[in-house]
Amino acid sequence: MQIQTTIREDRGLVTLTGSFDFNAHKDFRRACDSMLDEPSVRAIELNLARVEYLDSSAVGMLLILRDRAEEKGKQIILSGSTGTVRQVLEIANFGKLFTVLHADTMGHGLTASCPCCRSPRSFAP
Amino acid sequence: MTERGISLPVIVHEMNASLQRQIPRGFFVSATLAAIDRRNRTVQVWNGGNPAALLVNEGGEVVRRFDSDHLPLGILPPERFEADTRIWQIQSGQASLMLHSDGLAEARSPEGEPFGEARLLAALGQGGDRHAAVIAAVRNHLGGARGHDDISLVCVDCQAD
Repeated sequence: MQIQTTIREDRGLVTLTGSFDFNAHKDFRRACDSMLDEPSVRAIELNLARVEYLDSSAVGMLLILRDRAEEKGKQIILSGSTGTVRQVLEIANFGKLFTVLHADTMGHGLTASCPCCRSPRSFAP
Repeated sequence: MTERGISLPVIVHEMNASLQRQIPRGFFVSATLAAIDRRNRTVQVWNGGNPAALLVNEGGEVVRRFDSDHLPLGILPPERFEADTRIWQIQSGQASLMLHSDGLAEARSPEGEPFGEARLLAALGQGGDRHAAVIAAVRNHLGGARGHDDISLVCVDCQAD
């Protein structure tokens, strides 16, 4: 899996491409460390739009990331998941733990489900 | 706990608390728990992280889905855990509750296509021994290959006593 990272103001963006499985473990950890250690970053967004496959070890990596982010007072956002990856996150009810953003079909703007009440919220693009 | 007549929500709450204490961070257990009351003709389900449990009538049609609406076990601390269940009153004469692992739905053919829920529903509609029909359909779909994940299927008869 390829991983690109960018930091823009207080948002860290981690873009993942390919298969998110146990083989990605070291690279994923390294990318997240760089975000977690950066004091200016308040939220880390993982963009999953180009992730084709996500297995239970990847789910575990997301859970560990969330714990570590919570310890540092940072938010984790999962964005852009589609297809089977989105299904995996929905069956696991990850919207209860993470802010999950879905790109809408026009590619304009994003809707999110609020983690505490699951009601939809819209964001300007 | 079941032998002592303890309710499903209490059991699942305890299971989660015990797992959360014992298993390492990042690990979790997807679980479906079902309580079938044959006398009162009810099915009560807690599903955290598994494919939907399916209540199927005599004709093999799904009369009720119990989708995953919880996080898997072992993630949330006890004070945040949600033990609420879904209860259904069985109306048809004969009913079976089918539970399956995600490895069954994801079992891939040699061409890489997953078995999927549509094939599962088609196998259920065939009549006769539903468990055998689904297993045969999955084996056929795998075409001799082994699944990459556990393939588990449970069928429970929910007929009245």
